Amino acid sequence: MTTKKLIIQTKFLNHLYKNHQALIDLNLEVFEGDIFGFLGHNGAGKTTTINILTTLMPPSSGTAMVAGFDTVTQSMQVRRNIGYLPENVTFYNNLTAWENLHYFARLSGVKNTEQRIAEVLDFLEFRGFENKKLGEFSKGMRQRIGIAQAIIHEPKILFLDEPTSGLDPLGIKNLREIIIRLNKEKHLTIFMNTHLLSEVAKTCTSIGVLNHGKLIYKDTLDNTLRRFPTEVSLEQIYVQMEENGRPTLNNNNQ
Amino acid sequence: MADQLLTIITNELRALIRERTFILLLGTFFAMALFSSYIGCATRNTTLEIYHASVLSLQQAGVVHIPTNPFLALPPLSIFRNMTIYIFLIGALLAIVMGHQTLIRDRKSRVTQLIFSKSVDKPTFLLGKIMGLVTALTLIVLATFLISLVSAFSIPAQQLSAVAVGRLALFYLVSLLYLLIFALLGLGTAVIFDTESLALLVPIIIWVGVTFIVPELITGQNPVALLNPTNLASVAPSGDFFTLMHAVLSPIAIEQQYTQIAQSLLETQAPIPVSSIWMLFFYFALMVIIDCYAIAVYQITTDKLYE
Repeated sequence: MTTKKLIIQTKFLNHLYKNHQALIDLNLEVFEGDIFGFLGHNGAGKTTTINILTTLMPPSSGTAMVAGFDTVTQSMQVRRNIGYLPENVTFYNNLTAWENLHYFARLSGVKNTEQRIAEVLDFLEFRGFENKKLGEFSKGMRQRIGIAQAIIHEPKILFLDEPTSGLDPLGIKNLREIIIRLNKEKHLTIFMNTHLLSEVAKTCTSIGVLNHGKLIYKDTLDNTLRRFPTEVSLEQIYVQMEENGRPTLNNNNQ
Repeated sequence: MADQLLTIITNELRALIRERTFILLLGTFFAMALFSSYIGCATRNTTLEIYHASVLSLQQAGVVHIPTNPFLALPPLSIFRNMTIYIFLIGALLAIVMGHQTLIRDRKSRVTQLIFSKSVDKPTFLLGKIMGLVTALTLIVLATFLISLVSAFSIPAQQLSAVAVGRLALFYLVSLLYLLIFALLGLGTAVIFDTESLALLVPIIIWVGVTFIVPELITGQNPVALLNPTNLASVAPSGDFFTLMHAVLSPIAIEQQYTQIAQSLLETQAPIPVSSIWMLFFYFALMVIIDCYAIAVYQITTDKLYE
């Protein structure tokens, strides 16, 4: 049995907005090579977690380590090791796909920009659209550019915030295939916030459930499906957990 | 860092030339610059014709002592005096739009989250944006200077000496500083306000205040008269109100400061008012400080922009 390396770890992570406690003592562990699905209702604290892990904001208390670096004191090292696609980013509509990618590649410190853009677009099977303005792109096409900019500097971890939001069924299927290929072929660890349980079942290897800022469940997808034998779908399992607010933590996913 | 700065500057220029509002304002500005010298020349010729007609009627009336033509004393650069108006009207508006767009573009597309998830920090980001504006405005002002030279040399009776070309270059340098103040104002409000329209409206209101209301309160001239550069040299009206207004508002009357510098360079050839130049530098520095503060307190993750 091989031992997986811990790549994301939070310890007693708390975040307080003015009058609202968004995260309460979040202790989360994600292992290298996982596709981690982070589930939770609206306002559960999923985006807050991702914002802290991507160094966009510091936590009120607690620590978060990403790729072996502290998100507060070593934020630049964290940023070099992650790719991020936030929800509803539209990019620069007046610029072409190539110009957008070139910009983000250079900001990420990529030297051989031309070559990397070509490689990434080849991987995403998106050649031929480089010189089109993003204003002409569909939501699905934009998401591909979003993924492209997130992986152009060859990060170790990819953070996706509601990546399937606004996509049609075909777009969702294509994105799912891309996520799985990134994990299998590029060995990327993927941390994904999502509402779509069907996608979690088809894509993720492990899941975590956040309820009002508390992590109420975490395990591998296989274990989850085994643990609830009477349930017929992941959706029902999730609803049951949400309703019960069950504080069942199981980090034994190795 | 240098590579990131260059990347941000290049992207700014690339994004700017794709924006219609910017192109429309720039086209108008260049067109006015092109016609500025012709308008100046035509105005001078008309004035001379009026003078000659007056001389003729005076002679017919038997007047012996005819006053010399006061307009002959005007330096050749005075044909560009209308450029002062185009700078503080169209140019300043253009600069506000440029500053506004440079940040609103990123906020609207929610690209700021992406940028700050890369290894870019806030100071580099802001410096890149400011340098992008400086580069773009320098290119615009340089192009306007060249347009002015070409148009001046295309007028047969109008030849500029090397000293005059130098003074014209200095005028455009001061104009660049003046425009940068408004560009940085547009940038700052684009960070501070949550509403896109308000972020543009506020600097425009400030621009209207600085260009029309403040000078009117100081000089007592109506807005139309304020646009006439020959009237600006006139003495401010006396009286307690205007004395008080002059004392209170002069420090913020940057349009007046700019006009005084422009007049000394283009029309009167008087020594350049150094205090006015310092005043422009002061406002430039103030805008940089405001922009730094705005970006420092800017919340990337909770940023919401309404139309």
